[in-house]
Amino acid sequence: MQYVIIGGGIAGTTAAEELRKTDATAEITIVDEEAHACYSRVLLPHYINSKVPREKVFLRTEKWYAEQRIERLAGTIVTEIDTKNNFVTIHSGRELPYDKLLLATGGQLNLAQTDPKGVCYLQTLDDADGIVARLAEVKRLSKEQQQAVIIGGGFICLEFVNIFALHEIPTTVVVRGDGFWSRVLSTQAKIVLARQAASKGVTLLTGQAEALPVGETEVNGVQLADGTVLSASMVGVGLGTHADKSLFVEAGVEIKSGILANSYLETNLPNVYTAGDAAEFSHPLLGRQMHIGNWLNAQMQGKTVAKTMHGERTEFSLVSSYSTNLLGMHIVFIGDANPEFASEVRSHKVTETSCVDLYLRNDKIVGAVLIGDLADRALITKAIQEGKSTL
Amino acid sequence: MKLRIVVDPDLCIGAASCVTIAPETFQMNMENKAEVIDHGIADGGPSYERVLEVNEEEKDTIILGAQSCPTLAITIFDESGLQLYPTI
Repeated sequence: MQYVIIGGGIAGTTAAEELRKTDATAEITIVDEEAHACYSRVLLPHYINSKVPREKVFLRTEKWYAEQRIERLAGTIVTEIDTKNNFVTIHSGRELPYDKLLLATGGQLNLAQTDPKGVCYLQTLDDADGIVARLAEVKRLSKEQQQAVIIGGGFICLEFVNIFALHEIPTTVVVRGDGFWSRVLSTQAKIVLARQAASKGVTLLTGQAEALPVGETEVNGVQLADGTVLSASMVGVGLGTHADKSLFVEAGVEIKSGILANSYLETNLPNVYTAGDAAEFSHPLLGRQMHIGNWLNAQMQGKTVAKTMHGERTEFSLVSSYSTNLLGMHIVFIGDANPEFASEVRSHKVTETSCVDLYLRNDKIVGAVLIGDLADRALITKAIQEGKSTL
Repeated sequence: MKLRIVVDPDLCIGAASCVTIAPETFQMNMENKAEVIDHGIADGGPSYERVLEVNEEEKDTIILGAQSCPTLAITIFDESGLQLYPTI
């Protein structure tokens, strides 16, 4: 049996490991754009903030791949997927035949309109290295020049807010919508987060149609639609990700916001599977196509899809959650917290400094957002898993 | 068999992966950190470290719970003090 896995992140690597457990003789190849062995992207902020040394972000060693007899083609780009004749071509021209193919390619970063030196992203270890280097440069500037702008208002934005706060760099967040996670959160939730940002001295500029990093050799500001330029010696960009469609569309793989799959993580093509941030899969408990970008989802999909690829067809039904914080204020997303697909967003608790919203569909709780008050987290998770209408 | 399970609250970011995978062994506290519990019970009060008597199946679940932690905040030792996870 020949397994080819495109993507060496946690979904692809976990799948490879599980396949090896069930098939000692299979050929397993991971085609990985990354130069580095599998590492935890979630640990990158800890590394940037010197909480863990760089070597601690790695989850696998080169020795591990060798012991597992998993061939990892590092720094390798796939140029063609031929799903009729079952092979993948990589940039060197080498063709990799497969019996089963896993697409675990994650998401492609949405970039800022321009990105001169000093404009930072936070997706990869190389990005984290770049942030560490830039922070060191910024800290050498005069106090007045130490200013940061963040473009975007989601998870990565919050990571940048926390990083800049730790380094005592005054920060302005520029968002298109009316607050953090503008398309997801309730008005109350956005108010609580905006208040938290303001109380810690972070400026939030909402309703900004444009945010253009400017600077000749390196960034020195961010220009808004009205021509205002915010001074910045460092810019953090968190504009989300998108699916890299061209390769898959040519191969005949159906894509919407991610690679479409059923609840077994099988795509529309035989012997082609998907897992992790790349997958837009049918969730049996939540009852719709979900496109989820969190660690546990990716890891457990890798584990589950490996079973199906090996012949033990297994549904993926995990309800995952994710957690972050805004300058010490805890934020937890559980299940399907998306107002576009909710029939009702019910305010469960609201105070000056906290907000808990439940997202319902067909009179069942399918998702929740908890901010500043996590007391009911276990209760809400259970309600979602059991399809209840009240807590 | 006995396992010693230790959570580093400084590394824990409250993702609660461990609670999702191994709810009998981990629960979140009010600081949004994972605590270790013994078969669903926090005997003797909250703790980031416990020695648990477990069977083979429970051991596998607990290790999977630890492996699911994206910040490697959970360390597991066997009775002899050998570190079972993380392995690197």
